[in-house]
Amino acid sequence: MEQKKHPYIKGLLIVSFLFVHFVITYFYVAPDEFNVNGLKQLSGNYIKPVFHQGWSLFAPELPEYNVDVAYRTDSTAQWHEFSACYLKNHHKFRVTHHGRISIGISNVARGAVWEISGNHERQEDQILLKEMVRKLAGINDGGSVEIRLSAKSVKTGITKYFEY
Amino acid sequence: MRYLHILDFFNRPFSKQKNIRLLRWGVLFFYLVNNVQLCFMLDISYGAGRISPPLGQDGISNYALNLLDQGGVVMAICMMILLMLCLFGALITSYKRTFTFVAFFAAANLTNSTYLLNSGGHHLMLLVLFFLCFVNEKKVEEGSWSNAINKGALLAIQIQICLVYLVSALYKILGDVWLEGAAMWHSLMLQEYSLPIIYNNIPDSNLILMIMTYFAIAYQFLFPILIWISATRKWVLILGILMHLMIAFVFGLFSFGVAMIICYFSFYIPKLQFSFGNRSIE
Repeated sequence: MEQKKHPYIKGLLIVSFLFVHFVITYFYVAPDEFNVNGLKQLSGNYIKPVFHQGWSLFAPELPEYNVDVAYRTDSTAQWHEFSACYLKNHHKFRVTHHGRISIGISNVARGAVWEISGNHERQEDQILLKEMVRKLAGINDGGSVEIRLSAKSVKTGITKYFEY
Repeated sequence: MRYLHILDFFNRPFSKQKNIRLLRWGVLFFYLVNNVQLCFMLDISYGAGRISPPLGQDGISNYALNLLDQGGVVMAICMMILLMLCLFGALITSYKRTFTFVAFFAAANLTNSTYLLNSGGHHLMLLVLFFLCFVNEKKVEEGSWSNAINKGALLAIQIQICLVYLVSALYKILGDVWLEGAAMWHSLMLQEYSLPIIYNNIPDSNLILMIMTYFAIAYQFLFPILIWISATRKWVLILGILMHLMIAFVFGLFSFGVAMIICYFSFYIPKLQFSFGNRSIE
């Protein structure tokens, strides 16, 4: 009986839910230029816990540098290459876990270069990279670590060095 | 009022069982590869040497979907086994919604705590898995709620994929490097998104790479329109598969490339026919 009386109620409810869900998702993921500022903040409360997503890889701008990471545990010791071996394995074995580690290191290393080169107050990526080096290279928690970042510009080929 | 007839779509019997079945197999394959990868980095993902700091979220997410926020190798292995069993259970039993829901719970916990090592593919698969929680392709009685929800969930997966492309395209047209047509060259010059044989040899002004850059923008803008037109759907997906294979194997973003290709099963099922003498298998 109900079906005959209200044959479209199911469709109406489902379409309404999908409409609301994807409008909120759009406000969460869309770039600021195509977004409403207040709604972006608001949509986070609904999206972040279960539906978190982001689709801005390589855009709007691409990373400017290829960053290599080296470390040493003593200021007089030699630098050890850190990111190069993961990158080499990523190139060799395409479907394996090496790619995830290599890309993870590069993302954080680029963030650290951005923080240092721009004299930003933010130091989160520098700290995070140090922790990554410590854990992946098997250095004790108490031991000191110095990091050297070599940032080679994709366009000019000029390399800048940063140490911290 | 006459437009309400469109809503009758949700009353007609669900007929995309094959699409759902292939989606389920695709998701199973994705998490099988993902779990094998995680087994090789258990310590840095969930052990004492874990490199992704805790997310520290509040509410339901923290209690249900971030159980590995503080790590735990044994629990992670249990989640991996649970995930695989439930994905397989959803394929072979009638309790599709229950098994998929538990699989989503396990997959979300495994994924959320390794966010530094994830790509967009992991997020996309989680979203697909979430919507699959509402699908039981065996309950397709005309006019029933179960049937309508099946249709709504598949539609949600399709809209989600369209949104991925639309948003990616919007970001791209904001970047000078994309509008100048240099983005593909620039991407291939980034060491971790390329191969030495490529970034050591490509010239900086390459017409093919420029065309590929504009093709990528055009494809992403047009996908949400052309995919709904039956005459163009097949070709849109073939071009998409080629593009995502390149992302998977040249750019090295295997999980993202494969996840996108798996999602294409929500739109189209290729018809394969093999002949053995007088017999043909479809």
